[in-house]
Amino acid sequence: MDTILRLEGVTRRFDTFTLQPLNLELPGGVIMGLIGENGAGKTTTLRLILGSLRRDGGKVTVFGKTLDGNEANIRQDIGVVFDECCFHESMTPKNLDTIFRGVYRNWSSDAFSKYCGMLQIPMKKKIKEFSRGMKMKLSISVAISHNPKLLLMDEATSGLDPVVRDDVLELLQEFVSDEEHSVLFSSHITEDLEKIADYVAYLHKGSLQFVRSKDELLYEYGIVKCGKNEFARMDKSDFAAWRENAFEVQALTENRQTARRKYPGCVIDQAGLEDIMLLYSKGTSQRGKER
Amino acid sequence: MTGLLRKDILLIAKRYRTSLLYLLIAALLAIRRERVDLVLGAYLFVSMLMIQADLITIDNEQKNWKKMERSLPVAAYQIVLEKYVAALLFLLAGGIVFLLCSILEKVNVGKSLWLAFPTATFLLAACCAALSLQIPVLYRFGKRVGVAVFLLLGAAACIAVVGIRWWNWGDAGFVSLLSSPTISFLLMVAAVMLTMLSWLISTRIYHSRDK
Repeated sequence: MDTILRLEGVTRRFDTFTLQPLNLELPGGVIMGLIGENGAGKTTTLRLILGSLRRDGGKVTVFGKTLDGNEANIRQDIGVVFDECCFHESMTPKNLDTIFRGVYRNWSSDAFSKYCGMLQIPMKKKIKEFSRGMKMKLSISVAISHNPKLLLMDEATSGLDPVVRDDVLELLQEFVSDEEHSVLFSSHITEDLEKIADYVAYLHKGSLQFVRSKDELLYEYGIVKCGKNEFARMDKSDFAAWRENAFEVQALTENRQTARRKYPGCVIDQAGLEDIMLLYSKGTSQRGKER
Repeated sequence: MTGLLRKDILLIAKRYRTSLLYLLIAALLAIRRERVDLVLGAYLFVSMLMIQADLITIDNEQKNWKKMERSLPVAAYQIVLEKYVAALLFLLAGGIVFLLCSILEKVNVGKSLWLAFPTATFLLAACCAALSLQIPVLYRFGKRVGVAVFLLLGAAACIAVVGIRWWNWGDAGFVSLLSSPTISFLLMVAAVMLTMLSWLISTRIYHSRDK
């Protein structure tokens, strides 16, 4: 699989937030989930990839071309879905077809009609009459109708009901099924990513904590639950992070099997993406500092 | 860029659909009363200023469109250029309407058709000058200041037009000055150069605000 997106030491400083040097690679034909709490830097990362935000350092390579000076050309092969519908409310999907035909070289009116049909979007109805779910479905149809090699999604499923979310996820799976398309999907709805992501990248306070295959995360990571006294006797280097509450300690291990052998008296559960995110963001690490 | 142009033309057409009816009424009245230069000229000038203001600010009404626009395969200079092209297309359409009505008026009163051209040229040049001032102001200072400039320009145009007609500032002399092909040509060249300069300034403003 060729790498279609590479970020090397990309940084951006704002007054109240800094994106630490970010290194990330996205292979072709995969869905990568970008998780992190609000303000972790997910949207900033997507904007840096699009070149719509100036970098303070580092290099972005998309489809083997560096971004500098090629932004407009590279964006011909990128589709973007934002967290809210971006189209003017007085427009109809038919109007959008007319507009985007003049924007993207590879725009296909047939594909757009097909996706709108699949997602039951009426072509002649004004967007202001659409529900939020319909608007998001329309945004996704627009984003993929020019057959982009890379689809960037910024919290696109937040606020949608489970049925619409499921429709969207199905469409995404179909989109990457030919292994020529990739998706970078920023979300804090970890449930969606557990369903469809191949890789998960975790951003916390502007710093990339890890990029791992989802299966590795779900099969290898575990939550060790034990009492405080018991935890005090444990080797802290076995844990990526831990949290104490009034009754117990929950510790995140990167190797569930080893932890099972080493601590047979403890309850060790499979760690979901949400657990991992919570422990990394709110827990304590071995270095003794609050993350 | 053509896609963005289609978007703006569609949006403006939807918004000003009913204004076409008013334009028709104003045109008929102006021809009947032989006041095309004054009534229709002022009406079109103000309409053009309103359309230009809407072209720039219409995207602010859909706050998320800006995000979408920055993700499209269009460079910043093209985004700004598209606004100018759209404004000029509307201006051209307005100019043609004015010219046709002016010709009709001249035919009705048995005057030479060529008399219709100087005022049409003046109207186009005045609208270009207004556009060149208004668009950078809208990009830099937003709608409030942009509208203030628009009102100022509208007031200046009204005073000029009313003054020419009623206070005898010498509309005959004014028209005869405009009738000179050299003056008309220079006026149009100046308007085009001013518009290009304005586009460069607006692109710079857009680019600096963009990132």
